[in-house]
Amino acid sequence: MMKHSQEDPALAIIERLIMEFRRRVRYQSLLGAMLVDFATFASLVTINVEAGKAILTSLIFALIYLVVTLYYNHKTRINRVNMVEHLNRNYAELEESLQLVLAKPESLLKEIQRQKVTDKLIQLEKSGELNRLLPKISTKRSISWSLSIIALIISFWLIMKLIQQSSFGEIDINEVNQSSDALVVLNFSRLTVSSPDYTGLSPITQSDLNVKVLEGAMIEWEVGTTKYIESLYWLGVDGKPQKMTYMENGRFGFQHEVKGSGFYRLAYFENKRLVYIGDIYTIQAIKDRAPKIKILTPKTTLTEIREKAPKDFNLKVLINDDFAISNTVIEVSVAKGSGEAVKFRDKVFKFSQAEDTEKGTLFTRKWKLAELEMEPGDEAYFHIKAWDNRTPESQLSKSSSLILRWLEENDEETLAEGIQIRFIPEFFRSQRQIIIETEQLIADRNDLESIEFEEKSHDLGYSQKDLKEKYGQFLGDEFGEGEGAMHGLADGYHGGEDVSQGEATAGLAQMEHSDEERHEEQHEEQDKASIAESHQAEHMHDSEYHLEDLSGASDIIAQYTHEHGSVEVAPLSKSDPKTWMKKAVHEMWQAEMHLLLSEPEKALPFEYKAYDYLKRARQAERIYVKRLGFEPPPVSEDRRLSGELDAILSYSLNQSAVIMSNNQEALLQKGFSALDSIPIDRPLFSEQRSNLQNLRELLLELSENRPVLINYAVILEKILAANQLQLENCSDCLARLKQKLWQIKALPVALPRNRYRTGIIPEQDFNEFKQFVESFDPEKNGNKQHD
Amino acid sequence: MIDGVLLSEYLLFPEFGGLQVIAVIIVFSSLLISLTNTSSRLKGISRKYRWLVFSLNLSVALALCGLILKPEIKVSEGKKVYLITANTDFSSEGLNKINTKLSRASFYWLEPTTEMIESYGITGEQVLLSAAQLQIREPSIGHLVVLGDGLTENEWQAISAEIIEFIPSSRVSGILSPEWTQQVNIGEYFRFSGRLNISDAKSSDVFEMQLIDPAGQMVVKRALLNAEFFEVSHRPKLSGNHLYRLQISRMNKTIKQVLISEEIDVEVTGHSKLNLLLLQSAPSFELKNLHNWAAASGAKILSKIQISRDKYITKAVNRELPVSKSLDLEFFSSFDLVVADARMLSQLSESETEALINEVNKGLGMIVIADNSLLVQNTASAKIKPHWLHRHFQLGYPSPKEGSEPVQLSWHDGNGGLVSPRESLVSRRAIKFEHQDRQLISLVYSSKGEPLVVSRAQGKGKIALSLLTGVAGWSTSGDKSNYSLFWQAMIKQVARLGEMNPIIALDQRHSSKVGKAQRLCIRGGDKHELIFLNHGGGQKLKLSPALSEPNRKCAQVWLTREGWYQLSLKNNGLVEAKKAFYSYSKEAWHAQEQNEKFIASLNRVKNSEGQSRISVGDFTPINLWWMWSLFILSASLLWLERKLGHKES
Repeated sequence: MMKHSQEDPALAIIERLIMEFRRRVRYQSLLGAMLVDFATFASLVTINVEAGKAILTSLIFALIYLVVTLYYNHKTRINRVNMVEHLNRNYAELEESLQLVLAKPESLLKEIQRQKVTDKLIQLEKSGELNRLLPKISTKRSISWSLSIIALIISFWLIMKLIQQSSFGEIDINEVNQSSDALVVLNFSRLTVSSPDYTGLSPITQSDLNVKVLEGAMIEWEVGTTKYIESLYWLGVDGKPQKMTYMENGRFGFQHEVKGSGFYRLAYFENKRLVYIGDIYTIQAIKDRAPKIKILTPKTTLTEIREKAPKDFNLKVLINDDFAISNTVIEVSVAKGSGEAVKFRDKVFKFSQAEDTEKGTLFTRKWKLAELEMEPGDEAYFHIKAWDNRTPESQLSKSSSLILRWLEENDEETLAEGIQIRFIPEFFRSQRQIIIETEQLIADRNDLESIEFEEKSHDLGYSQKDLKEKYGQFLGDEFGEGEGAMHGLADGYHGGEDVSQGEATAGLAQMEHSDEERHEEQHEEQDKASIAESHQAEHMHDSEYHLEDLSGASDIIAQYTHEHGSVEVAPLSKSDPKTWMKKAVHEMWQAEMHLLLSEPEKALPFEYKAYDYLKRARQAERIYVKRLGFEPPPVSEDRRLSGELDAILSYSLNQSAVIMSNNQEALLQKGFSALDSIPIDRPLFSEQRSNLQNLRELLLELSENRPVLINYAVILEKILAANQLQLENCSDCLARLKQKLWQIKALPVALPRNRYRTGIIPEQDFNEFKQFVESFDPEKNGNKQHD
Repeated sequence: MIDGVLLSEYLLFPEFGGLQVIAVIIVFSSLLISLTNTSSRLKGISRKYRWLVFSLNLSVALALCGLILKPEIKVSEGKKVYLITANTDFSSEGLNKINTKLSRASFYWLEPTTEMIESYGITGEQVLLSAAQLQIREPSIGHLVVLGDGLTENEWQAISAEIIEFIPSSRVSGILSPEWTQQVNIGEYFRFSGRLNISDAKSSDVFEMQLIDPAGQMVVKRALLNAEFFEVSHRPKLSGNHLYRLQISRMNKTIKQVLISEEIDVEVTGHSKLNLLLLQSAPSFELKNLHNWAAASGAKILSKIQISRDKYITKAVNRELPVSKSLDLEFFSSFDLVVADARMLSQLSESETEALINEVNKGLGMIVIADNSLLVQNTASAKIKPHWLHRHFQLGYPSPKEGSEPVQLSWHDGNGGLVSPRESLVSRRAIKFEHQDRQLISLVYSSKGEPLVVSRAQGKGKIALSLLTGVAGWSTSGDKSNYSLFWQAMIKQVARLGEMNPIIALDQRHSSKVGKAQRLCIRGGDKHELIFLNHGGGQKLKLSPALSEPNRKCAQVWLTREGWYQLSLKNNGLVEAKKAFYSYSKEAWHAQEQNEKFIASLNRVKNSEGQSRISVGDFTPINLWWMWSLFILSASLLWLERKLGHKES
C-alpha cells in the first residue's frame, strides 16, 4: 500500500484523509472521557464520597465512555472505499469516478478518467477544500455526557436520602410486635427552647438533648425512633412517666416548663415494663439575676456639706440587669433633730435621667438641699431600689445606704473610727464570700465553658475591686490609691452571702493551721521554706528583681534577708488595724489582677492573705478592758445552793442526737461513704441506696445556685438505675463524682475519740509478747517442758 | 557486656571475635611454615637440635599471639554466682566486662522483665521469682556478687555465701524515708514527712513540692532544696479511703518539669465511739457546748448536772440511762472519759472519789475544769478540806492582773503538729501551775509559754486540769472548726485507750505493691473469718496460727492489682471490724525501696565473712611483660642459632 500510494498521488491524498479522520475521532473521544472523568469526580466529592473511591469511580466512568465512543463510533471504521464514496458524494467534479484510483485501470478510457479525477483531487487538495470534510472536534457531546452523569449521581443521592428519612413510617406494626428483642433508639431529636416573653429572646432550636436554658423557659421536644412504638414517655426527676404526644409525622412531642435544674429520660413500656431509651439528659436552669446597683456618685458613703459649700447633692447610679429594668426609685429618709427629739421623714423620688451605656443604664438625679427640706444639722439617708422585668414576679435589689449630712458651723469632723467598728464585720464577710466563690469557680473549672469561666472570674475581680476601693476609702486612699481624707464606708458587694455561718471556709481554716505549723520550732527546715514563701508573697509587689528571677534564687535570698524599703513591710504593730488593712488592700490588688486575667488559682493565695490581714486588723482594734466595778468574793460552799426550793425536782432524760443526721454535711459524708465501698460491681444494698438517693436530692437542690452540679446528679441517677457503683459506659464517672463531693464538702468538724498508744509495740501486743516470753521462764513456770 | 572467645574454661580472649582469632592463627601458621624452611636448613642435624629450634619458634609464635590477643586467665576459686537484681546497668563502667553468656560463672536474674529476657537470652533456669530460690538452685555459694538495687533485709536472710560483693545501681530520684499518718479520724490532720533526693541536682536547683488532694486540687505548695527534709499536713474533708498525691517539680525558666509523683494513701475514720461522762456542779456554757459537740459526733454521753443542793438533772444521749445511780467502780468503768468541774469533784463522797481514782488507775481519763472552788482553798478559811487537785498539780496563784488577761492558745494536736488559731483569745482562771514537774505534761499553753492545760499520768489513766473558761466562745461565735480541734486534741490525749483494730496489716504502707505478698493477721478466736475484698469480688482467707505470736492468726495474699483492698472480720456472721489498705504499683516509692535495699545489702557485705573484693569478672588479664620476655628471649635465641648455624655452614 505504501508503494502504491507513493506512486499514486490520489491514493496518498486519500490515505492522508483517512488518517486525519481517525485521529480526530480518537481525540474527540479522549477529550470526552476527560470531561466525564472530571464531572464524575466532582459530583462524587460533593456528596461526601471518599476521595479514593471518587477517583476510582470517575476513572471507570471515563474508561466506559472511551470504550463506547471508540468501539461503537462508526467514524472509526473509515477505510478507502467509504472515503472514496464520501468524496464522490461531496465533490461533483470527481464525476463519481474516484474509485478508479483504487484499482489498476483495465482500459484506456478508465485510465484517462482516472488521470482526470486524480488531477481534480490534487487541485482540491491544494486548495484545502478537502479539509472541510474532516470532522470537527466538538465538546458538546462530552459536555452533555458530563452533565448527564452529574445529574444522575446527584439524583441518585437525593433519592437515597429521602428513602432513608421516610423509611420508619412504613414498618409493619405486626412485624415489630413479633420481634421485640430489637433495640429501639432515637434517630431524630429536636428541641425548641422558648425563653420567657419578658426576656425578648427568640426561640432557638437544637438537636442536643442536654440543654441549658433560662429558668422559666418552655422546652418543646420532638423525637423520633428507629422502630415504631405505641407510646413514648418523658420521665423527670420525680421518675413519674408522662406520656408524650404522638404527632402526624410519626414522631413524639412533649412540652415542659423549666422551673429548676434537673434531668430526664425517655422510655416506653414493653410487657408492662419500662424500657429506657438513650441516656439520662440534663436540664441546666440558669437563674435570672437580680439587678446590680453600683453607686458612682458620691464615691463615699458619707457626704458632708459644710455651711459654705454648695447646697446640692448629685446622685449617679449604674444599674444593670440580665434583661431589663422595669422600675427604679430613690427612698430618702431625712432625720431632723438629735437625741430623743429626732424625727424622720420619708420621701420617694425618681431618677431624672436614664442613659443606656455598654455596662448598663446610668441613672442620675440632682437635688438642692432645700428640695429635701433639709436644714443645717440634718441628715438624709438615701438608698436605691431597682426592679427587673422578670414575670410573673420581678426581682428587687436594694443598694446600700448613703448618708448626706449638712454640717452646722460649729460641727467638728466626724471621726471615722466609730463608723469603722460598726461596719467592719460586713467587710469581712464580703472577702470571705469572694474566697468561697473563687474556690467554687476553681472546682468547677472543668465543668464550665471557657467563656462562662472567664465571665465569672471577671465578676469576682470586679467584686474584689469594689471591696478594695471601699477599704481604700476607709484608709483615706482615694479609690484605694494614695493618701486622702478619712471618710465613711459603704458596702457595695452584691453577691449572695451566707452570713449565718461564722466559721471559716475550708481554705481559710487550712491556711490558719498551716500558718501556725510553720512556726513550730521542731521543724526548722520547714520554717525556713515557709518563711521564704511568706516573704515571697510580701515582697512580690515590691521587688521587680524577684519577679524576673525564675530560677528561684531570690527565694533563697528572701529566706535569709528582710526588706524594709516599704512602709507596708515595716515592723507591724499588733495594735494598729490600719497597717493590717493596708496590707490587706495590697493583697487585694494582686487578687483583683489575677481574677481579671481569669486566673483564680493564682488569685486565691492573695485572697487568703487579704482575709488573714483583715482578721488581724479586727483583732488589733479590739480593746480589752478589765472589768470595773464591784467584784464579789467567791461564793463559799457553806452558802452555795442553800435556798429552799422545794419545787425543783431531780429528773432524768434520755435523748438521741439528731443534729447531724439530716444536714448537708452529713448527707455528703454518708453519700461519699456509700460510693466508697468495695467491690464496686456488687448490687447496692438498701442503706447504701437510700444514702445515694438523699445525695442525689441534695445535689439537685444545690444545682439551683450551681448548675454544674446537675451533671453529677445525673451520674448518681445512672448509678441508681444500674444498681451498682460501676457504670459500663463511663469508667471515670465514679471517680469524678467523688472528687466533686470532696470539693463541695466544707472542712469537717473534728470528732472526739479515744486515746491510742503510738509507741512501737501496742500495749495489747506488748502484754501478749510478755506473756509469751514469760512462758519460757523456768522459774515462773515451774520448769515446765516446752516444745 | 562484651563478646569474646573462650578457650577452655580457664582462658579467655576478651577483645577479639572469632575472625580475629582466625587471623592470628594464620599468623601462627606462617610461622610454622617458616619452620619448614628451617627444617630444610636443619637437615642432617640431630633431632634434639631441631626440636629445640622448633620450640623456640613456637615460643616466639605464642608470645606474638599473646601480645596481640591479650588473653585473660581465670582466677576465682570456688563457685561464683551473680545475682542480677532490678536496675542493673551493664553499660556502666565496671560492669561492661561481664559476659553473661560466656562466663562460666552462674548468672541468675531476679524477676527479669520480658525485654531483659529477650536481649540477654536468659533461660528459664536462670530466672528467679524470689531471692530464696537462689539458695535452692545453688546450695553452696562461694562467691556471690549482687548487682543492681540489691535485696531487702528479709531476702538476705534466705541467702548465705562465703564472700559477698555488692555493686549498686545508680540512685534514682525520689522521696526517702517517707512517713505519714496512715489512719486519722475525721477532722484530724494527716502528716507526711520525707527527704527529697534528686540524683542529678545541682546545688543551685530549687524544686517545688505540691500536695494534691483527692479532688485534684493543690493544697500545699513549698519550695525545697535537694536533700532537704520536709513535712506537710492537710485535713481530709471526708471519711473513707483517699489518695493524696505528692509532686516534685524542677523550677525551670520556661517549663515546670514534674520529676516525682507519688500517691499517699490515707484512711479516714469518721465515727466516734467515745463514752463520755459530764459532771457539773452547775449548768455552764463550757460543758453545755462540749456536750452538744460530742453528742452531734455520735459519742455516748451521760451528763449529771447539779441544780440544787441535792437535786440533779441526769441526761443520757445516744445511750441508755444507767440503772444504778450510785457512782461506784462499775459505774465509772463504762466510761472512757470524765469531764467535771473542780467543785463537783470536791462534792463527791470519799467512796465515790476513791472509785473514780481507782478507775483512773485502770485507764479512765479525766479532764477537770478549774473553777473558783480551787481559789477558795487559798483563803484563810480552812474549814473546807483542801482539794486533792492541789496536791496533784501543785497549783499556785498568779497576780490578779496576770491571771485575768485573756490568752492566745497553742496546743499539740497529738499527731506531731502545733495548732494556734489566730483568734484564740480565751479567758482563764487566776491559777497557775507553779512547779516544774516531769510528770506534768503541758497540753495547752499560752503564747508566752505558760501551761494552761496540764495532764499527768495516774496509773494507766490520765488526769488533766484546764485553767481555761472561755473555750465555748469559739463554738458560740461559729468557729466550730477550732473548737472541735481543741477538744479533740484534749480528749485523745487523756481519754481511755481505745481498742485496737483486731486486723493487722504487717507490711509498711509503701511496701504494699502489686506482685508482692501482703501478710495479714488478726487477733481473734477460731470463729473469726477474714474476708478479703477487692474490686473483683471477695474471698475468704485461710488463717493459720502465727508461730511466734500467741493469739494471732495470719494469712498471706498476693496483691495482683493496684488499688484499695478491704478486709472484713466476721465473728459468727457479724462484721466485727474492717480495715482498708492500698496496693501501690511496682514503680511506686522506688527511691525508698532502693534505699532500703542498698542499706540491707551494704550491711550484709560488711558483715560477710572472708575478703570482699571488688572485681567485675572471674578472669584477670595475663601480664604482658611475660609475653614480651618470652618473645625477646626466644627471638634472641633463634637469632643466635641462626648466626651460629650460618657460620658453621
